[in-house]
Order: sequence, then C-alpha cells, then structure tokens
Amino acid sequence: MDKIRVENLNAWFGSMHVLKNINLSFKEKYISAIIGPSGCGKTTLLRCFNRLHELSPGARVEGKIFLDGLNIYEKDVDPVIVRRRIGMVFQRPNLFSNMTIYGNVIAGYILNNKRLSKAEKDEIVERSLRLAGIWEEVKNRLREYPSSLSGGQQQRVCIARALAVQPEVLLMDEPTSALDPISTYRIEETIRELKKEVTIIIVTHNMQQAARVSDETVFMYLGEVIEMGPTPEIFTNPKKKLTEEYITGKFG
Amino acid sequence: MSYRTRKIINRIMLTISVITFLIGSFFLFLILGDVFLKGIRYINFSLFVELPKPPGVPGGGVANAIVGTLILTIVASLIGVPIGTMIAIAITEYHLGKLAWWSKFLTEVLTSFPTLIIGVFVYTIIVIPMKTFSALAGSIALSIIMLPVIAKSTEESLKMVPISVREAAYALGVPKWKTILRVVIPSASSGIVTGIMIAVARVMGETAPLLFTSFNNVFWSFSLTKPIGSLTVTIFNYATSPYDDWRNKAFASALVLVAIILILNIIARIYASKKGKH
Amino acid sequence: MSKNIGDRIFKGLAIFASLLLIFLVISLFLSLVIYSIPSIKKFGFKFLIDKIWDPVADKYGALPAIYGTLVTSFLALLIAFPISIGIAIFISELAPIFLKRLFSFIIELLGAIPSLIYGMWGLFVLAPLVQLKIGPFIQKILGFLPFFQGYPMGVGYLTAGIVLSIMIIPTISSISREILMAVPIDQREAGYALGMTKWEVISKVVLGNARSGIFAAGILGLGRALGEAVAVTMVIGNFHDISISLFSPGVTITSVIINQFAEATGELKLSVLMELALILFLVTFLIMGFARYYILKRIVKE
Repeated sequence: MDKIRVENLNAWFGSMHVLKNINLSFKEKYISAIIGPSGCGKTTLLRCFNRLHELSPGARVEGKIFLDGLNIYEKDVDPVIVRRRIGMVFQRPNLFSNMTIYGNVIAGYILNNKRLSKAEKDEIVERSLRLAGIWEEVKNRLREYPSSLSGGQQQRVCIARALAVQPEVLLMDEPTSALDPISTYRIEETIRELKKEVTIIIVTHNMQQAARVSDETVFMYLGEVIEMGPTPEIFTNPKKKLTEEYITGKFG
Repeated sequence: MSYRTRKIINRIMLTISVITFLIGSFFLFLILGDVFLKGIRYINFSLFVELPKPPGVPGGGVANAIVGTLILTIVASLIGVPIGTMIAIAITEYHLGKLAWWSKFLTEVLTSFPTLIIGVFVYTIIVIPMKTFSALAGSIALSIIMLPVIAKSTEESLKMVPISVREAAYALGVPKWKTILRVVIPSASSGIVTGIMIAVARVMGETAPLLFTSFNNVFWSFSLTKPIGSLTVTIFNYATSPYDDWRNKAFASALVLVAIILILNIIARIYASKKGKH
Repeated sequence: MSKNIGDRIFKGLAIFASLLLIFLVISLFLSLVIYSIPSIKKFGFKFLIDKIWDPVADKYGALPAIYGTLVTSFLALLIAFPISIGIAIFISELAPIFLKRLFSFIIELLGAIPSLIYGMWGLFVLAPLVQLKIGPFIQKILGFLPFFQGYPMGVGYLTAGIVLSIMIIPTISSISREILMAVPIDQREAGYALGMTKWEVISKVVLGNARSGIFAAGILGLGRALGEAVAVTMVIGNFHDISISLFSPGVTITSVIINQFAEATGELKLSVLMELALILFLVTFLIMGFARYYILKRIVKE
C-alpha cells in the first residue's frame, strides 16, 4: 500500500499560490527524493506532510494527504498526533541548546511527559544513536551539550532524536546542504540503512544526492509536480522535456 | 568655512560631548557618595532588628520596614511575573493581530508611567472597597508597575529564540503550549531572569504608590489585609521629619536601600553578559 | 487550530493576560474620571485657571499645580536634553567598543536610583547649595531677569528642575543612544568619504537621520518629569501660588496629591485630587503614547 498519498493538494502563503494541485503517492519503506529549482515548492510540500506549513502566518492548505489511508487534514485530526507519526529533520541542525545530547535524543518523550525508567531511556537513546550511525562517536559524551559537536555530528543527533519516537515516516529537508562532504557521505549512508525501518522522503537541491540515495524521484517546478518515477529512469530517461532540462543543468 | 575652523569646531564639540558624559557620571558618584557618607555613620545592628521608636529615644530601627518591603516585593512578583510573562508570550508566540499591537503599545506606554497615578488607581479599586490600607493593595500597585517591565524584557528574550528551535519541538509532536513552557522559555531564561531582577530592583525603590496603598505601619505586620511598613515610606517619613535622629536613620536606611538596588542591578548585568556567551 | 485541550487553555490564558492589560488601562482612566466628577461638576473649567486653595471654604484651583508641573518639567528638559544628547553621542560615536557597555551601564545606574534618594539629595544637599551659593551667584549675573528675582529659599522651581533634569538624563540618553547606534555605518562612511570631520558626520549625517527619534526621546523624558512625584514633592516647597521667579517655591500636581492626600477627608477634596490625577494621566498618556507610537513605527519600518 502507499504509505502517503497526496490528493489535489493546494497551498498558499497569503495570496501566493505555492502548491498547485499536487497528486502523488509514496511507497512504504522507500526512499523518495523531491528535487527542483529554488522556489518550486518542495520544502512547502514536505512541511505539509507533517502539518508544519500551516503554522506559518498567512499559510493555508486545501486538499487531502492520506497516511495509511487516513486523511491527516480531516477536521478532527490533531496535528500533534500526526507529527508523532511523521518525523522531520531540518536543513540546519536545531538541537535544543540547553539540553544534553542524551536529553535531546530522548526529548520527544520527555517534552510530552512520557514516564520512562532510566533503563528504558538508555535503551531508546542507544538504539536511536546507533540507527543514526553516531553511537560510537558520542557514547561517552552523552552528558555533554550540543555545542561541543560538529555540524555533521549535530545533524546525526537530530536524526537520532527524530527516530527515537519511532515515526513511520521521516521527512528530511535538505539535511546535508549545510554540511561538509564527509558528513554528507556519512548521512547518506545512514539514510540508506534507515530504509529498513522507516519510509523516507527527502528534499534536496543536490541532484547527485537524489540519484545516489533514492528509489523514486519527484521533480517539481513552480509549485507543480512535473514528473515522478523510479530514480534510474528519471535521471537517464525522463519523460518530460522540463525534467530533462533540469537534470542536464540547463536551468537550476 | 576654512578647514582650520572646521577642525577647531570639531575638537570643541567632541570635547563637549566627553564633558557631558563626565557630568552624568559625576552626578552618579556624587549622589551615591553623599548617601554613603551621610548614612554609613548610622548603620548599626539595631537598624536591622529593632522596631521604630519615637525620635530621640535611643536605638530603634526599621526592621519591620525591611520585612515589609520584602513581603510587598515578593507578592508583587508573584502577581506581576506570571501575568507579564503571559503578555509577552501572547505578543511573540501567537498571531493576535490588533490585540498584540495594543498589548505592545500599552506595555511601552506604561513603562515609566507616573507611579503616583497607579497608586491612586489602586486606592480607588482596592483600598476604598476594603476600607483600609493594606499590604495587598500595595503589592497590587507594585505588580502593575512591574507588569510592563517584565512583559517588555521577556518579549525581547523570547524573540531571540530562533524559530528553528520551536519547529524542532513541533516536529517531534510536542504541542505548542508545552513547546513554549519547556523549550522556548528555558531557552530564553537568562534574559527573562535578568528582566525580573531589574523589575524587582525598580519596584523596591517606589514610594509614591505605597503612600496610597500600603500606607505605613510601625509594628510588625505579616498580614496582607493590614497596612504594612516599607523601607521607602519609612525613609520618606523620617527624611521629611524635623528630627535629627530620624533624619540620620533615614540616610542609613537609604544607604541600605540603594545598596540592595544597585547590587541587584549589577548582578543582573553580570548574569546577562555571562549567559550571553551561551 | 489545534484540537489539543492544553493548547486551547494556554492560548486562552495568553489572550486573557493581554485583555487584562487593556482592561487595566481602561479602568484606570474610568476610575479617575468617576472620582473626578464631583470636582468637575463644582468647578468646571475654571478649575484649570484658578489659583485659590482654601480647604476651609472648599474652594480649589489647579493653576498653581499645573503651572509648577509645567515649569519644573520644561526646565528639567531644557537642562537635561543637551546633556543627554552629548552623552548619547559620546557613547555611540566616540567611546571605544569595549567600553560602550560599561559607560551605558553607568548611565543606567543613574536611572536605577530611586526617586526618593534624589529627593533626599535635593533636599539636603542641593537646596542649601541653591540657597547659599548657586542662587546668589546666578542673581549676580542674571538678577535683572524676572526669573531670578527674589530671595532664593533653596527649595523651589529651580531646585526641582535641576533634580528632575538629573533624573531624566538616563531616559533621554539611553533611547537616543539606541537610535544613534541604529544609524547604519555606511551612512557615516559616506560622510567621511566626502571629507567631513567627525563632528560634521555626527551632526549632519547621524543626528540628521536620528532627528525625529531623538525628539521622541526628549518627549519621553518630559513625560517622565511630568509624572515624577516623591523627588519633586521634597524640593518644591509646597507653596500654593504661581511665581515667575525660579527661586520661588511652588507646587506641582504630584506634590499637591501627595501632600494633601492625608487631609482628603471630604468627598470634594478627594475628588479634586482625583481630578488633578486625571489631568496628569491625560497629559502623560497622550505625550508618552504619541512618542512611543512614533518610536514603534520607526522600529517596525526597519
């Protein structure tokens, strides 16, 4: 079954129509990349999946997004619950600076007043940091604060934090655009490993990254979906001319 | 105008500017020095532990006034800090349009508003119905004075917390109110605490509003429904009295008051700059 | 937006706090008006221009109080404004960066001193000085002016004006300093590039840019002086009349309210004091509201 299905989605920032009639579906435990030039709406689309877009002043959404067949934009659906099932990693690491690394990873539980024993917490923190591929590096530094970590390390802790609450879908908004090539490589490795646990949707302006990492790719332009398909096909044999022009770098 | 003349004018005006600063600093040290010199002689143990005595009677102190000021300040803070913080939260964390604009505007206008008028206001709404002066009325008057100060400094601290921190919490499925209380406010805590310290220092030095609300009491009083002595009112009464003995006590108490207020301000600044490196 | 109960309650609390603030200001205004009504009914507009103050016959006039408030406040502004600008220029344009914080803090401390302390200093230090040294000195030079006639008693308009001026220096200078520092560096650099001296850059470029903001700072200082109660009460001399001489004692709105409050036994007497408070409220609210609104607009524009 499709993990996420988008039906006639439209979104606005004030009077700016940023997403126009989006219809898409994403398969479970696949890595899907969304690519396109700046301003094409890919980040906005991502932020619609976890109902983050509507928090911006003047933002408006119409349409349906189905998570396992249930519309997350249904009237009495609590966005807070949606966000526990669909996690997000942002462009720049945004760990809570007044919490330790340990505290950050477990934050999804603590901030929601979930009571856990120390053993449970330890287990969750270790599992999440392992999944994020950073356990060995920080296992002896768990009581330190985020500022003692490099950007790449902080971003991987962000991934661990998002994974700790065991979401079914992980949204990644250009997660490596602020990082050096080595951290980027490490995180791409991690993403490939994570496929076994979660469905991943990654927005990237780096086409090579999309080609390296994803199973399916969506190409967007000016708020519309131009094309979607298996990654190898999109990159070697795109169906639309616009896609081909973007892939070959005629504009960007 | 020749270049030479322009250079001379330049020198003169810049020197004048330096002089104005020296004048300002001079007054600070002059006034503080005066309070210190006049007051230090009469600082003694009994000032802090004894109750007021009639002029000329040996001993006597302002112990009840010190305690009174503490009580008034604490109760005022208990009222003013939560409400002021909520107003700041309303302005920064929610999009309330006109309401937010008016809140911000009134907050600005009420800062350094004549505190006498606040005292008179509380007199009409609390003292008259209660038919008595009271510590409660005094605390409420002080809390109204604290409100805009706290709201403004808290608002500025909250604004400094980047949106990404809030979004990180939302993305984890933390509801907005928990995000504000458990992520945003702790993030802004150093600025908020500094603002509270400065507001408390301000309110401790207020006299006029207390004259109409808590009035005065020369005995021990811990009740909110009775008049209560305060350091400022006591100093005011003693200083404007014709008795040397009381006037000396006024200076000694004034020294204590100023010392507390200045120390609070200095601690607040140091705390703010230390935490700023976070 | 959120179905979460916690969110709804919390947002409600936030809205409640904002409404409380608005409600507070409105009730402040209304209570002053309501209690002033007996006085307004009895004296009408004549209240504002009458000099009489006779508690026995229950006849009151606000002119000396209004006059005293205006004279002392404008005198304070006259003295404080240039000094404050000078300080603001010094800290913003002349002081080395690592000292700016310290110097600002010194001026801030001046503003943190309670008005009670200013009052005491004014009463015990400045007043005798004015009476024995400063007053006669001014009289020697400017004694021909009506402002400096008569015997300097020590307390009075001049002393109050000086005390107030020191009190409002921190207000005016800190706001002015912020406004000056907000003028972008490239504006100054343009002036230097044209061969201007430092003072010319400051006076023509920086101050020119900041002119209206500094004007608003001055207005706020004036507002602060108008509303000052304890310090002024201690040095104004409590003399219910008007006089052109600055050496003369007088009253201000705040000093009348403080001094007469204890004897406000009758409903009318209380109402008169309330009307005075109402006048002060309207004047300061309008002045400070205007200045704050103006400053807010400037900030929003940036």
